[in-house]
Formats: sequence, C-alpha cells, structure tokens
Amino acid sequence: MTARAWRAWWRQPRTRGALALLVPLLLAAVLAPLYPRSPTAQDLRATLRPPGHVTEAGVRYPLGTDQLGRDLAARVLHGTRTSLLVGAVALALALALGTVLGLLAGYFGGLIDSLVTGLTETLMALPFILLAIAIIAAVGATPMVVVLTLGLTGWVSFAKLVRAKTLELRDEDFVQAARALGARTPRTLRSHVLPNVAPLLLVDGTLQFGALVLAEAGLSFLGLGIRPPTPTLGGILAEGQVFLAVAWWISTIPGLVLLAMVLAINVLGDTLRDALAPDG
Amino acid sequence: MVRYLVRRLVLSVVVLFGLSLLVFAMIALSGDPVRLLLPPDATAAQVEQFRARLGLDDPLPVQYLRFLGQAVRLDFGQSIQLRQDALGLVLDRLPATLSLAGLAVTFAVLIGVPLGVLTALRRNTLIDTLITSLAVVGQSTPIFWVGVMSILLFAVELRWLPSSGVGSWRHYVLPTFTLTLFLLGGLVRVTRTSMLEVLSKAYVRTATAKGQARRLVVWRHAFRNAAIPIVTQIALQFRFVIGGSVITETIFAWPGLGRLLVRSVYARDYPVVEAGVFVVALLLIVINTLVDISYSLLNPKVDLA
Repeated sequence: MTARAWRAWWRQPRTRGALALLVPLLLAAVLAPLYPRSPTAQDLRATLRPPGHVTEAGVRYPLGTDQLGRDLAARVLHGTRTSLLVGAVALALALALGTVLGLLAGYFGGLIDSLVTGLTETLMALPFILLAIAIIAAVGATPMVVVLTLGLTGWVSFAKLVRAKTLELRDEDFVQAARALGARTPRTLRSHVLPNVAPLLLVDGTLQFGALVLAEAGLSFLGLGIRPPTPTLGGILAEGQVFLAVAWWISTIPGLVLLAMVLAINVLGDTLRDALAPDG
Repeated sequence: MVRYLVRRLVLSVVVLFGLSLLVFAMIALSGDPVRLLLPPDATAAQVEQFRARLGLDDPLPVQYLRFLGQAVRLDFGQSIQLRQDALGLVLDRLPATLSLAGLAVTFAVLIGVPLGVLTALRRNTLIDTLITSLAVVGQSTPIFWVGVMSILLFAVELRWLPSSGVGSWRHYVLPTFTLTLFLLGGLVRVTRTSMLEVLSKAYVRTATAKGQARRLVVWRHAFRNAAIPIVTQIALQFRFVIGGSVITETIFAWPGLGRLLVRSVYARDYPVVEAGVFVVALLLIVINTLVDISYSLLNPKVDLA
C-alpha cells in the first residue's frame, strides 16, 4: 500500500471508530493475565451473582459470576485472548498456504493448477462448519486441531484470489521483462507478482480474520472447539444458555464482546478496501 | 447448453471424488472403530475376528475402493448409536432443516433485496448510511448470540414464544428470525453494490434521458441486470444457511440434520456423519448447478459454453 492509500484509510472516520473499539479489546486480551482473579477459580458461596456484586468478604465482581461462582470478567478477558490468539494463528496459516498455492497455481497452470482448483472446489462444496465437524469428529477437539481446522479451511478464499490475480499479472509487461532480464521464478514471484497481490490480501485477510474469530466461537459454542476449562467466548455463551432465566449476563456479555471485536475488524476491512479503490 | 451441463457434471464428479477422499481420510484418521462397536469385555480373538470381517486388515487403497463402492451405492452402513440405516436417519431429518432454511432464505430475500435497492437509489443519504451500517453490524453478529438473546427476550422475559422444540407455527418464529438475521446483512450489501454498479451504466442514463418512468428504469433496466450477483449471493447463502442451521438447530433443539450431525460427532457415530456430509454436499452441488443455469435465463448474454 502506498502512503497515499494509508492516508486515505486513516482519514475515514469509520477507521478511527473501529480502532477505538478494537485497540482496547486487544490491550485487554494482552493484559488479561494481570487481572487479579483466575478465570477458573470457583467461589461456590457466590454463584450466579449479577454484575457489580460485592460479597460479604468485600470481593467485587464487576461482571458478576457464573454457575460455579467464577468471575465472569476474568473469563471474558481470557476468552477474548483465546479468540484473538486462535484467530491470528489460523489466519497466518491460511494466508501462508493460500498465497503459496495460489501463486503456484496461477503462475504455472497445468497440473498444479488443476490440483489446487479441484481442492478449492471440493472444500467450497461444503459449509465450513460441516467440514470442521467432519475433521473434529475424526481427530478430536484439541487446541491444535481447532487451529489447524480453521487454517486448513480458511486458505481457500486466499488461494482463489491470489490465483486469479497471478494469472492476470503473469502476462503483464513488467513480469515478462523481469523474466527476460534473467530473474528466476522465485524472484519473479516474490519481487514482481507478490507486491501486486498484497493489497488484495490485506483486505481479504482482515475480513477473513473476523470470519475466523466467529468460526472459532461457533465451534466452541457447539462444544466442538477448545475444551473447558480453557475459557472461550463461544463456550461461556453456551454455558450461559442454561441459566438464561436466572442469570442473563453470562450469555449476553461474551456475545457483546464478540460482536464489538468482529464489527471493528470488518469495518477496518471495509475502509481498507475503500482506501485502495477510491471509486468503488 | 449441453456442453456446459456436461462440463458442470464432470466438475461435480471431481468434487464428489474429492469429498470421498476427504471422508475416507477422516475415517482412517479416527482410529480403530472396533473398540466402539464391540462391548468392552470382548476377547482378543473376537476383536481379531471382527477386524477381519470389517476388512480393516486390508491395505488402505483396497479399503478405499471398497468404501467408494459402498458410497456409490449410497450404502453408508448402520448408525453405531441408533442401530438404524445411517442414510435413512439423515434423510428423515432433512425436511426439518430444509423447511427452516427455505423460510429463512425467503424472508431474507423479501426483506434484503428491496432494502438493498433502496440504499442504492438513496445513495449517501441518511437512510442509506443507517441501513448499510445495520447490515455491517448484522454481518458481524454471532448467530448463536442472536439466537440466545431472542430466547432471553421473547421466551424468558416476555413469554410470547416457545424457546425450543417443534409443534405449532410459533416454534418456527425464533429459529427463522435468527437464521434470517444471519443472512440479511450480506444480501443487503450485495444488492446495494450490484445496483450501484448498474445504475451508473450508460443504458440506465439513456432510459432516464428518454423520459422513461423512474419505476421502469429501476426495475426493468437496472434491477434485471443487477440480478446475477444477487442470485449468486442467494446461492452462496444456501451454503451459509446449512452452516447457520447447524448452530440454530442446536440452540432451539430443532430436530434437523444439523443437530443430528453435532450429536453424532459427540457420540463418534461416523456412519451418520459420513452420510450427512455426503447428502449436504450433493444438495449444494445441485443448487449451484441450478443457479448457474438460471443465469442464462436471467441474462441471455451469458454464454454457458
């Protein structure tokens, strides 16, 4: 991205609004271990207490407690941390895989293109969640499996995007010139093709990050994601559904945090796209 | 047209073949099913005999071919948990999922497309900003949170509607609402974008210039040409809708395919998971093909060959 595009991005009020929402959440996720109470410590004398409750011993629960008397604030903080961490690792994996396979398929065509296209078409034939269910049914839900599942299903859109753009760039004069001047294939791809694909990846990657965070939360909600006692936003929400009639806060608060996080990420993706294509 | 259909069919076969590999890999990775099928006090000799009967001692390629042969004949075996034909179980649950999905898609189209057209016509006005912002919020909202919040409001607090299960039309309201809201945001935005693109075209300006009534310009000249991306989005929605339905059905205890699959995963009931994955994939392939064909009807310029 050029300096002009960054300025066009920063000038949009929506960008700053989204950052004002996302940066505190990021900070909270990073600093979660500094919060004085553990997300798994139980206090069975103070279960299902509403937000702001102060116990007789003088302990204050800013967001209340759950059915086991665990501090909801601590759980949501750590859950946010898990969400962002899983989303980021899965995104990195999906980006790496999608970019490499898309570049190879678009640049070389032939057999490798057929293979990559066949694979993307196959993975696109199924809803993500079903694919994840199939994989997790087979190998069980460990954090590693969840991250790999998200990464191995998230690369498809990147691969399609990179392939299409590479196909277009392959015949451009500057790429042909680089090759005529003796640049080897890895160098041509790295120095001439990739920089032209990067802006697209930035936009799609941002939007995909939001989608991955939501997907992880969805899996955790179904009980197919990262297992308790590790707190996840989707998991806390699912536990709270049982106690909806007596403790609305358990389900409501993690959902709001998730919404704020994904909304901010999606708006940033939109403003990046607008900044890169001013007339779009 | 025929050539196109043949090519499309070949692609579908490739996809199904890829899926068969995926499902087979899944079974191979899931470890020894014998432990699940036999009682825990089975002797080593019984285990051996059972393994041989299931053909688990054969090399993997032989096992794959046998699996493929069974899949082609739609034989996924018996559900481990329920002792019934796995495909039959899946097909029994399909109508519940399809009726929910069909209703949600219908409502999303009836509400989303007009809203999208409206925002395009009133571009950069207050109403456009408002609806477009709400659409982004809708796209960012976790579907399971919407579901749980709608239970909190309409079932727990107001006591207007049942929170789960099936029976009367009232049981349809909250699941349909949840699934519709999940689809609405994307549909509004796609309609807006494609309408805006078409409205800037020369033929729309010509139609306006020659004094054509606004209503005719919008619906006859612009909307018909904007329809293709919108129809694509609706087709894509079906992929999301099945995904969203897995979650919606779980929240509302809806007796559909999604809930069956999630329960089968908990119970490690692989034959049912296989049959479900296969049925959904086939359904989506058929829908996508129908959508591609409908392009040619919407726009004769699209050359399917």
